[in-house]
Amino acid sequence: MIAEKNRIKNYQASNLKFSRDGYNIINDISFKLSPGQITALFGPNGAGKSTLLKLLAGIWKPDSGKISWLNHPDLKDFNIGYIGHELFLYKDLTARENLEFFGQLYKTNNLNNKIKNLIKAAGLELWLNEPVRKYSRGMQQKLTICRTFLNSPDLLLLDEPFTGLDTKSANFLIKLINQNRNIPVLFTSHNIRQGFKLADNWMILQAGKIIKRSKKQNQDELDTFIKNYDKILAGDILNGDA
Amino acid sequence: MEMLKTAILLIKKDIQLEKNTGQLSGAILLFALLAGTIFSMAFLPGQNQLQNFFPGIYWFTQIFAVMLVLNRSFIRDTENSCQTAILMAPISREMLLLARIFANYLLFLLLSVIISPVLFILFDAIPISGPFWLLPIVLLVNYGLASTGSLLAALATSTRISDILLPVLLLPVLIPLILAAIETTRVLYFSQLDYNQLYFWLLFMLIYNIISTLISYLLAPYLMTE
Repeated sequence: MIAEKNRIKNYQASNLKFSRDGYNIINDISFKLSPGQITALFGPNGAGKSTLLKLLAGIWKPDSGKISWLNHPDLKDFNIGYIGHELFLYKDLTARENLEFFGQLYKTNNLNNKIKNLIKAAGLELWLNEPVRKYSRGMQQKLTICRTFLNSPDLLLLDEPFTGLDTKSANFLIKLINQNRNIPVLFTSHNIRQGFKLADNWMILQAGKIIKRSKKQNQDELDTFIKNYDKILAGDILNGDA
Repeated sequence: MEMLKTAILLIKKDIQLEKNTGQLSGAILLFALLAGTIFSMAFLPGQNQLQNFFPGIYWFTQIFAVMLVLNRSFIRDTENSCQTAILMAPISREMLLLARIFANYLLFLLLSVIISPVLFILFDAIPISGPFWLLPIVLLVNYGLASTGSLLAALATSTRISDILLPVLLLPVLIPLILAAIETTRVLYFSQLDYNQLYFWLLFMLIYNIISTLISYLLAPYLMTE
């Protein structure tokens, strides 16, 4: 985690463009994330949500554009918590061995206590010394969440984090997100109701462009939003109409 | 220091994986035994011809074992995209690749410790003049294998055919190192040590290693990607 005096104030992505195999996946996207704000990214399959998160996590490099935190001089002390479609776990290592390896690699302070607390909160104490290969998919997903929150991230990027989680596990994730409310959080979700409930802001991505963005207002807006979601995607409702 | 710490972490992780599965060490030992047995039956050497074929057999057995290890360790890292999580650590890509080279170097030295006694015993091939010269040769060749192997494995991993691509890329790039390794080892089997030859090939390997490390360092930001 970076020192308070060096903390990045401006989480900005500007004019991002990215193409692969001749397809433009991200088309000139700009937005800001604010510390303490949770932003939901909605959009149909193939809109570019996962690609955008990989660019923001620094896994892929954009063809053009700037991501402020990836250009920060203190990047070596900047921890990005990223949950993707993959588990990022060694299946032949135990939960403890996985968390110890990644914790040490990410220079986590007070590692043993953090492992103990997270594993307890996830309800995986009895499985701590079992190889991940023996876990169910949901348990593996919970362990991935533990790994993500182990290193006190400075930014959270979560790609469909609720997929495969039961209600209890989803609540475990929401609790962890809420415990980290001082950092910016960006997540993608197909579950609009759940995503809208958690988020402070939302954006809709389609064909690599942000076609609509807004601050969450109230329950009525959610109902209107859900009712109009397909129309927004179809382009029948323009920015500010919903 | 950061590189060393990361290298130790990677080695610790590889050892834990090996301890939990036991897949690789048994296979390597079996491979060394089989290769040694097959080669010893195929060549039926006389002791005075040892210098003509043993260095080649010795280094090719080591190189094939290295390829097994490299493939396996990169498959383990790419499974579940663990490599991506490693890349996201707050460590520069250059340091990560150097750490990987160092970790592989220690692993390959361990391979030599397993393979060498098997082959030396099967062929009764302890170098007659200056057996201690084998140590710098083993250290230099294994470093060259680790630096070139880690670099090309990082390149191959970003493709969909990494397991096939790695040996295809690696063997041609290793030709100078293989030649140097064989020639230097051959010198040790003559009754009189030719120091000029020995120093020439050791220096050659040193330069090869410096160049491959520099290339790895420069290319790391481009190669160490998902």
